Amino acid sequence: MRSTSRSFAARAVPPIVLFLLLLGAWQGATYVQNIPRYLLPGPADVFAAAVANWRKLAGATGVTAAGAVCGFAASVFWGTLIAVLFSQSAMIRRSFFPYAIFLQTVPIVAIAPLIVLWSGTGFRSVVIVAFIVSLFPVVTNATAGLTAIDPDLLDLFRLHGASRWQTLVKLRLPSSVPSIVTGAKTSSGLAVIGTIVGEFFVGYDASERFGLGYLIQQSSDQLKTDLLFCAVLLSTLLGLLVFLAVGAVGATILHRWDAGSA
Amino acid sequence: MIVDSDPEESIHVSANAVGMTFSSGHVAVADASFTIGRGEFVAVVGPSGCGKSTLLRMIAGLIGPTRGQVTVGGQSAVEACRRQRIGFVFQDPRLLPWRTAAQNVHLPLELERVPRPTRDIRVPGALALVGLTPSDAVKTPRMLSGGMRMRVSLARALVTDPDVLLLDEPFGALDDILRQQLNAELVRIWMQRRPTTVFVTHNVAEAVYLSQRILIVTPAPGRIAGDVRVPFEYPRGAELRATAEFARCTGDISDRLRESAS
Repeated sequence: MRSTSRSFAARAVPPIVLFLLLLGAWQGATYVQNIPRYLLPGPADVFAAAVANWRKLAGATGVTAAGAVCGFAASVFWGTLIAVLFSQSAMIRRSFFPYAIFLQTVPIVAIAPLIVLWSGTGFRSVVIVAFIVSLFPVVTNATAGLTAIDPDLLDLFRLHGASRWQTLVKLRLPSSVPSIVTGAKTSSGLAVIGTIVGEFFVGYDASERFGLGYLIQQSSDQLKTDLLFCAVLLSTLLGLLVFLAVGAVGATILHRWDAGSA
Repeated sequence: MIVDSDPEESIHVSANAVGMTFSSGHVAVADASFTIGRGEFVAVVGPSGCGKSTLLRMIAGLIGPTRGQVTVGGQSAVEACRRQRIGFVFQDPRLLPWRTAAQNVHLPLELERVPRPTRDIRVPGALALVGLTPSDAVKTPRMLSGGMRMRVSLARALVTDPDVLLLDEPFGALDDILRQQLNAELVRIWMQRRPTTVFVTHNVAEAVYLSQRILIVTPAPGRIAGDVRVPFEYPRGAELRATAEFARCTGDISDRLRESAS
């Protein structure tokens, strides 16, 4: 325990020191060069903006977090379900996979008008964008996990006359939990990005509830660069938080799966 | 106690001019013919990659031969595997890491839809048979040593009270002391239950210690180069390994194995 906490300190201290140095240099540069605040606000300005607008920022972060969590949950659920379907037949896999790749490659900006057309603007459309953006990693990882089953174990199941359903529920799904967790980790980061991008393109017109994406756009339009910095910072922190949370949940689930599985 | 067997009297497993060529073109088994009596303990020895495992999988009915016929209880092995109870022990324990030891042993009964009251008697019985305590039974494979995991794997193969017990170099990865210990336990279990047992190994001393008869397989493509009766009576104590007859028998078979390989 001690050694892990020490190594954590060893890993954590250098980036923190660097961060503080950069912060100081940034503040110094804006002060010495006399850069206008709408171009580059100093850390102190950003901090002041955060304090002044904390209610707005907290609300936006909450809305974005909710969108990301909904999109992520939908991705894990539907992604796993699609992967289960894929795992049942190579034919299905071959037929559908190109279209799954389409979801991965199509620029979300290009289909945003369609989403607005079909679903309107607002929270639901934002979740749809987050879902589309974060679905692919779950599908690919879960499919890989569901199809790469130890052949000896498949033999064992066959030997005891296991049905397709029994093999799925008692072997394929539990075996692929580590892959699904890996996919979910990637997907969680993308869900946050997807939500913010969604808020840009299919977000809220001018309602009282809005997310960080909307705030970024609005503060950029109004040259409130200090507020823009706050929103960007919070987006990053939110992404990191969601990623870490999913990682922690994953590690708890995977506790049984690691090492010694042979 | 003398265990005599007369394979002529009741043939349980027979292979008649069996060949196996994989779709890759690799000829694993060229031409193998042998019979195994009901309740007999036969060891199959041969160099690595000689098609011993392929033979075992054909007896299990997991793969059909491309030439000749393998029968179990008078039926083709592929058909018989649905009617006969077969226990299979792999090279590695191959346990499901998300299940406890007892739950792993429980698996074949679930798959074969054995009624619950029967399961609840069979599982503790099988665990006790291989020398696992109730406190080991609730541990996951991760928490068990290599030898313990192999015991669980053995219990899983025995829990259905199989007619045919097939073992594919099960103790190859264990240290010598542990291997000898598990050999002694396997003989004890075999004497108690008398399944028809086929034990694949490349360790001649292990084959001599365990079996009533030894089939010698040539390097790939596999042929049966020898069919040797082992002259020792059961029960066989550890002291048997130290006797001159044991050394002579082991030496003879090693010689024949060498001859067949050259």
